[in-house]
Amino acid sequence: MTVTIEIPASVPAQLKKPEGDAGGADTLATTLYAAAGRYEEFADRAKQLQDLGSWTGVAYRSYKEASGEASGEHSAMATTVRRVGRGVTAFADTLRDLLREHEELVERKRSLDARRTQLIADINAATDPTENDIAAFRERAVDLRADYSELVTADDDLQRRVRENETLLRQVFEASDTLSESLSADGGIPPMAESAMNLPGAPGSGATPEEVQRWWEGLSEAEREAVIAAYPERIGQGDGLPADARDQANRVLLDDDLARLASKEADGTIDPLERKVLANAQQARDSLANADAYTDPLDPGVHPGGQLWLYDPAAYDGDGRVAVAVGDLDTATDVAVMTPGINTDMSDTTYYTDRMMNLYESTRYNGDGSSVATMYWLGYDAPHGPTDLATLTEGRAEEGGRNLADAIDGLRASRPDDPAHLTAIGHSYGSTTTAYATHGNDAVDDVVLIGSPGAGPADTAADLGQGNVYVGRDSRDFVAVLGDEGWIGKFGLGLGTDPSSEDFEATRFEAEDVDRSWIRNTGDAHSSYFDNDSESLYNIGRIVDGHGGDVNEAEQSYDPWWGPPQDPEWDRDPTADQPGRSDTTARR
Amino acid sequence: MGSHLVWQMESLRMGTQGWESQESLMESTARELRGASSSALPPSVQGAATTFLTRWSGYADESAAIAQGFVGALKATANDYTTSDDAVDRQFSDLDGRLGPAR
Repeated sequence: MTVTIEIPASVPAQLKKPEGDAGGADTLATTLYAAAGRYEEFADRAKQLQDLGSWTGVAYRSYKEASGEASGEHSAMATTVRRVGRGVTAFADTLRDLLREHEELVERKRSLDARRTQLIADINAATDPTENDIAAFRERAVDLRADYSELVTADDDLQRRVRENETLLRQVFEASDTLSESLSADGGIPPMAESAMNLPGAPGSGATPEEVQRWWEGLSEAEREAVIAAYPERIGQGDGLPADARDQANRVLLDDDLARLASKEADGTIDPLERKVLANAQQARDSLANADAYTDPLDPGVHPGGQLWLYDPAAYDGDGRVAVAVGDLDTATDVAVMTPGINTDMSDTTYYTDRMMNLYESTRYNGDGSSVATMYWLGYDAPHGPTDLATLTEGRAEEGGRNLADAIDGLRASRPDDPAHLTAIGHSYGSTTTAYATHGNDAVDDVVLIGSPGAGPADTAADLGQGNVYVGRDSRDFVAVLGDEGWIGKFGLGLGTDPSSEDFEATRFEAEDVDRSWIRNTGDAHSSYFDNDSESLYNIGRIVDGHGGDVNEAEQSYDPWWGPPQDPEWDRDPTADQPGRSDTTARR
Repeated sequence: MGSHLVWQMESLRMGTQGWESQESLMESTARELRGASSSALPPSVQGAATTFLTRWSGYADESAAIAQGFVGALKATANDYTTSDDAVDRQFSDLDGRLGPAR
């Protein structure tokens, strides 16, 4: 009896590798960014050199007119060549992804071919197969055919995206190679990107985060890549867009700043603001490198990755705006957004990104296995310190609260069908900012206030978010005792009600430090809430994981009629690295 | 030369130096763009990239020439002012405003 078992062909016959060298493309982009810096310098210098003492008269007027024209035209050229550089950077980033995917497909095919070879060998070895043996062979062949078919589809998809990536870059060059294009307002913008950006709902058009989300959903993959390359400022700050899209756009901007400003520094033409921007960019770069290299505490083979969710290094006279996440904001089950307080600017980005890794680790290590993303968010103009008058008022917190509320709306809108468990955490002045953002706004599930000088507009926990408010206060933290409590209050010393006081009715959790001083201070006591193996970090991790009911509660402070405010935590013995109370790190 | 004109000349000299630096930067830019390679890009993009680099190196050359034009014009202006001031100085030196035997 002859039995026929159809062995599927090994397909596709060839997995074509995407062409091009991403590193070489980066080098080309660096050359273009350097050129952009020189054109910018030309424009600036032409403007600056219009003032040549008291020179007046006909000759001067001619000179001024000529240099004014040169300034305007060179400014336009700078913008165009910058766009082309960004197009090359975006191409290189996408090429890296495509090459990675190609390697995965090659590995898949290798595995399928091995299965196919084994199937043929098993069939040939079967001298007297039973019906069951034959059925099993046929089933293996059918499965193999289906898997090969999936591989063909995946390869077709990869090749399509390779072609789109190349087409986009070609269009970028073609949109900027004549003088009229180079001088025009849209030089270097491929037509596909321009038409996509003109559709209703595009970011930066006044659209709501929900409209922006729908706009993005309506774009093809090629259009998405095109707008990321051509409009990175608008995509990088587009509330409602997926975090991955924002991250890609902001990384393009980051590469631009790093290369262009380093070139200006080398040329000796960098100005003081640009020097600050360059330093801020270097901070963002280092923070992302740390976040990208970070490994999950439960599975060291997993890299949760970093995301540059906000990047605006020149904002607030060079203090900058930035948000860096550890983990994937688009898919994580639990998402935390941490707002820092006074004295914070972009020069602190690596410090706070490290703290977000601590929080990620604590949440995962003591967690229920859900995925996590923790984001440091500096999207407001934090006061500069105790000597800054803005520190004494709530104005910056109120304005920052509006920005934070927008950011939270953006995060929410970007995941309409898969909402995360979202926790807003505010430290110090940032806790007041967080209070403003969540006041009468139930967009977040949980609110955490640590080292808080006052809860701003809120009289009680019920005023914030959904009423799930948790407060951490080290009894030695001088800043955290400034808020009002009791019937006398503190004469406006703080920024609203002390959220750790019993009148506020929040859940206070243990946050004492074993190395605490015997007096109140603004040093370690105020800045150790995210320290590894601390009570505070343990409890915050539990809240971020969605288990706020499991925090180790601390007695609230109170203000008796007969004397000054009392803190029951003052005399409790703190713990460190104690399982179930302050152990936050995996042994690795 | 009067103090006002000295100051004027200094401003012109500073302006000239600024444009000289810019001319040098744009010459470097032109050289770098000419030397940049599109070989790291896929063949389907290389043609467009090469055209872009060729044209933009030409634009950078043109910008260097523009900067050089400003250098030349400012230098010429400074020279004209100096020459003119010297000539006027001589004319006034030749004047004799005295009366009587001293004249």
